Amino acid sequence: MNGQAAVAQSTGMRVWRRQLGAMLWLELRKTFLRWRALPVVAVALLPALLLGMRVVAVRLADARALPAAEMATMYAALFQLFFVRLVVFFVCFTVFTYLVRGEIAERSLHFYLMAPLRRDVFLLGKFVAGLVAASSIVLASLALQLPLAFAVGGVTEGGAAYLFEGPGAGHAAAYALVTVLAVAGYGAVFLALALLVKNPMIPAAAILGWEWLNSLLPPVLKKISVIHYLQSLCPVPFDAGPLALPAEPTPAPLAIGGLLLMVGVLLTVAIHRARRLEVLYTGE
Amino acid sequence: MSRAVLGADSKRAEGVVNTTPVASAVLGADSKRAEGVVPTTPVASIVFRDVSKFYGEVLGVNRIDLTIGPGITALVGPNGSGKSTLMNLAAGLLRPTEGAIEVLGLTPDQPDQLFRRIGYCTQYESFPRGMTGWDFVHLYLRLHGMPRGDAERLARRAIERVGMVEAATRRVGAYSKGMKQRIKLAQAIAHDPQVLVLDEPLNGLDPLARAETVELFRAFAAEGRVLLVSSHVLHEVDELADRVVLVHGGYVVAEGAVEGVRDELAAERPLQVFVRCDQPSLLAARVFSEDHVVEARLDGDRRGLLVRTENAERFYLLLNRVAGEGVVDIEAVLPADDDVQSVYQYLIGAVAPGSS
Repeated sequence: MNGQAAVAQSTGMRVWRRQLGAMLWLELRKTFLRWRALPVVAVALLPALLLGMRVVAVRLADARALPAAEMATMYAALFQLFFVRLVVFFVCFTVFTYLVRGEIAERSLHFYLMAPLRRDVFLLGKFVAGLVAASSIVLASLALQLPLAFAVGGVTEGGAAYLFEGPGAGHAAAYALVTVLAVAGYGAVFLALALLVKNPMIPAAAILGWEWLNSLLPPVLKKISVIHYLQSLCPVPFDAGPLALPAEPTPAPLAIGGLLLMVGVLLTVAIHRARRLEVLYTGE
Repeated sequence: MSRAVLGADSKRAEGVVNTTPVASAVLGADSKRAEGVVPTTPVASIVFRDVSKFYGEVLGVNRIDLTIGPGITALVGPNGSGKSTLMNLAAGLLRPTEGAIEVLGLTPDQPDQLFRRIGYCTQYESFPRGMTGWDFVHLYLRLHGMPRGDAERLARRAIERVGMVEAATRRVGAYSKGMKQRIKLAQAIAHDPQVLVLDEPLNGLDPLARAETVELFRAFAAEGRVLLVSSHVLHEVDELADRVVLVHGGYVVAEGAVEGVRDELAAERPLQVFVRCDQPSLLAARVFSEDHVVEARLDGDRRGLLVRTENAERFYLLLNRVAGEGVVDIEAVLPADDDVQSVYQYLIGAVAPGSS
């Protein structure tokens, strides 16, 4: 590479970085500094609310504290069945579809399309912005849930030690990783969906059903889902009955790699669609 | 010099919604050009090559071949005629169904380069919610990838140019229609583009702001920039544009300087010239001897004469001779129907009465 090409490339990279930064700032303003963010935040906080209610109920009823190991299993069920499959799903649906559909509804998408942004940079900027926004919301919720489950009010026997000194810290890190990967996976699904269909609501409902029925699907089809990879990464097993883990869980590196591959494929599809995107508000 | 007659075409034959075909007129040598107002051969800044756009089965524009050069070109046509479709196509917000478009040699597939050189003030009234005028101009400049300092400097300059300094800190949602129009214009010009596409940019402006904006456009044109401006207010176009492109039913029906287009129509629609003089009867007798004069009618106050001629150039030469002879004292010569309004009525009004 000659000097000129290197300078051109570095200039290009610098411009893209600034463009991504500007997009991030714009999108975060739109996500957080608006009233419409409140329902999303409220839904994200539901698990923390449930755990807080448990603390109050146990204290009021003067019931016995649950051992930390038992609570860890209960929390694993709450995390997988409620938090990831419903809460993170809903937050991602709202945040990521709004990135495109919201702009179309508000007739402001053309301002992006009239900027000197490569369409792939535009799409990646939207994805990163959605990832940061949605992850912030659900990680904040997770950060509230874990102390409420284990360390607040003395309703979990040995909970604080489990969380801060025992295996709980590692589990918390794993839950955080699973949460971010869930946001990336569902985010890519919904961003692609928002570009491909006018009303993503019905396809999203179908995807929700698909995710819940994942354990009943044949092995090949199981891999075409976000939850398949996430389940394998969850640190604490629990008896999920018909929704139980696959007989042979996917090893962590393969699960992460598989999920990232799926995200890559979905973003490639979305970029392809973004390149042909037209502003046709009346016909949308 | 008549160009393509947009008669039977394949799309229409397939039952696509469309209007009656209209003959397309293109100027040859036009008077403004002769005066040096308009660049001679237009530099190919915006080029439409056989461009068609269909929304499903509905025609947007059909078989457009158009070259737009530096200066102010006005797109004129009624609502739904295809003006905004042409502008959205030029700006890459729409993709042509057929044909190709280039702006300064760039295609819409190169948005990262194209939008550094083109600014587009759309017809859309909407803005991202919750933003002030300053945010709107400044943050979208940041999307260009420029450093914060540069973006702030350019935003400040653009806001000053449209006279929105005091209102810039207020939310756009609280702006009047005219203020919204001006802040959109600021956003379109902020990055100093070579090509400006402006969809009804004078809509909603008060007379003072309108005059200032027209001056701004003229200043841009004088710098050699390309301005494509749409309007359905015809007298506005007369005072603003160097060239007009008349659009109707998705077709370009005429293009060129207004006078040039008018000249092309002279055979079918003789040019009307009003001459104010002291002896209109004598003048009438003189002009009637010329074969290009179709009609000469005395004005009510007998201080003027309305002449219809098929050859304006010969008529003006005749007037020069008459004035030189000193027999008739000519006070004023006023072309009565060489404005956009008349051209528009002759070309389009005949097809769709009242459409203008």
